[in-house]
Amino acid sequence: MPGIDVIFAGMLDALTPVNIMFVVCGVATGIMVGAIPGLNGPMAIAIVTPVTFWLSPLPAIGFLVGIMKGSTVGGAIPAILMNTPGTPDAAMTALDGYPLAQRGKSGKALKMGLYSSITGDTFSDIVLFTVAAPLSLIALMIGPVEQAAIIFFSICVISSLIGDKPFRGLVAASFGFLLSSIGQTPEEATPRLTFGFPEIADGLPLISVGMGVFVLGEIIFVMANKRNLAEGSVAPSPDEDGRRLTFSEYRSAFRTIARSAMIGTVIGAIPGIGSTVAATIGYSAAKRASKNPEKFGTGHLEGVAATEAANSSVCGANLIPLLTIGVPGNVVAAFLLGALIIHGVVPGPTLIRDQGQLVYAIFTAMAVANLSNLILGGIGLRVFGLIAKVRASIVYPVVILLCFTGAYISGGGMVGITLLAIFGIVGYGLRVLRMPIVIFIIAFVLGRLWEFPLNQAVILTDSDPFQLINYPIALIFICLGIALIIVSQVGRRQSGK
Amino acid sequence: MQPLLFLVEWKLVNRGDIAIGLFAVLFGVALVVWIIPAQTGLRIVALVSPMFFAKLCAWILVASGIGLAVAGLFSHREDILFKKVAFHLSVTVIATVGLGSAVFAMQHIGFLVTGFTISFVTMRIAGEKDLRLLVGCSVFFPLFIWLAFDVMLSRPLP
Repeated sequence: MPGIDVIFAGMLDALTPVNIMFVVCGVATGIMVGAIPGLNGPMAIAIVTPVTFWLSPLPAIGFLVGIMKGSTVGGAIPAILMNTPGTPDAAMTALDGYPLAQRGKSGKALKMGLYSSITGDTFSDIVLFTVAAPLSLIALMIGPVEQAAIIFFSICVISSLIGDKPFRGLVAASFGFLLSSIGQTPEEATPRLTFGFPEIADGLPLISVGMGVFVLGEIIFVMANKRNLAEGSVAPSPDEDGRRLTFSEYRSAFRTIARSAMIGTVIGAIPGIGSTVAATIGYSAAKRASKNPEKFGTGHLEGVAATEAANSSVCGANLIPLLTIGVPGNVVAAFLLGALIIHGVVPGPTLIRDQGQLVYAIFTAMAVANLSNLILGGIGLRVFGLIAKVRASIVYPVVILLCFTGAYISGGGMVGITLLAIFGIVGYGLRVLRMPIVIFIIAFVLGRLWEFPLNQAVILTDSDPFQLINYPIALIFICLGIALIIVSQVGRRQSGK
Repeated sequence: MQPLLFLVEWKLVNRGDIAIGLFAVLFGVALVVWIIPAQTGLRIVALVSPMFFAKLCAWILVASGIGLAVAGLFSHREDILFKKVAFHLSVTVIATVGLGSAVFAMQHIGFLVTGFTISFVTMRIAGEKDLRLLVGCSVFFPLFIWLAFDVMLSRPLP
């Protein structure tokens, strides 16, 4: 566990003006991106990652963390003002936020969303700061066989939790793993599945695959299925009372915010369950616990508070599995993992031990991001509200051009652009077939990290699966993973899916 | 009798899941027996075969494909796969042609002109009708990105 000197050194690293500036810029970008319907945090992180190549790891990760946190806050803006959630997890916010805005209380709703978000996010960050180091100590005790088994188990957990069907999740995961196996082998750089193209000898670039499947695929899908993206409905301007949120209003919703923050943190720490689920559970828990459940959905401030606290508290918690065992819990964490690797930082059990200073600097950057969210959100919610009115028909060309630019300048050149286009089509196909994109991306990022402990496990067990009996923990994880998939599939069948 | 009854109820099973599952199985088997061995270099001193990881992934694909197909047999919810097939195929073909042309143009004509075309076409497809906005944004977006990356950040674009 890092000493107090390492922790302080990390904090000081993060608090330099340049690093603070990058975090603040990240938060501003995140709020703007979240505020634009059709864009979201993971998309922005995928697009922006190539731009961070020329930065050192801390400002780069601080910038990306800022985007992650800012986009969660920003997603509520169009949900409240236009009944159009900027991000999927803000959909529940619209249930109460938009009716409030229609009554001229958009300012009140926006501020409740902002303060709830920041409260939830800060709670989740405190949990992350507290448990990450002890958990990584435990993780350090596990060997490669157990590590390989835990990664398999994580994919089974994610497959069973995301999407309709666990086996679909596993098909998507296998596809992602297979694509990650393209390129040279880690052991002796033997070319594998390169089909004679030396350009992909280092493997498929995450930027092209990620942006193609996640961003370009989504744009093609939305454009193909929605007739007119050049329209939007805007709530009326708020009256004098509707602009302000009083402290007593915040205090009366605090119990709801605290409950949602705890729900979001627990959900965020489990790989695979995203902020959308957290928001839904947080909202329904608040409704069940309320003395006036009938008010929910009609423009109730507690509804906004419950949703926003829950979805924001996922942010910090989903870094727990990433920083302790190297497993990204959701797609944002997967892109962060990719960005960390690109910057020469490999998350996993040894990260806090070997790079404790950087980890605590990232934690401090997260705290700075929360503060920036509070200040930027407080000052400019109405300004960001104007951005929310930008139509998708204007946003999409910029995003497509940024994807092409990112794929090109990230070192992929024309090959990167070609792969981007190919994976854009793949992304569309995956959406049509209702394959879970998130699992595909996580598996693609995780594949390279899985291969190494897996190879070590094969050596340690002499390629004999029965040797696993000597590794009971690994065996338990493998059996649990398989059992989880089967139980989850059977459970869904019984519930009619 | 039971198998015959199953055939009678074929319309009720989830054909989408079965089709995806079978495709995954076939693709996985093709990978294991043909594609991976043909496309992997020889091991020199490595203790683990370079094919090991890829083959393991292919076997997981086969296993999950079987699982999906079997689950599809017992699922009575029709899936989207066989709906709007022509529409999805048309979108795929149009997107492939469009993106293919964009990649080709990006390489041979350059970022600015291609960027202008991409912006114009995307905005038009997205339903933008205001001609001034169409032309203005189509010129401004690629020019701004080009200035930001190529000129200011010195990262040359095609």
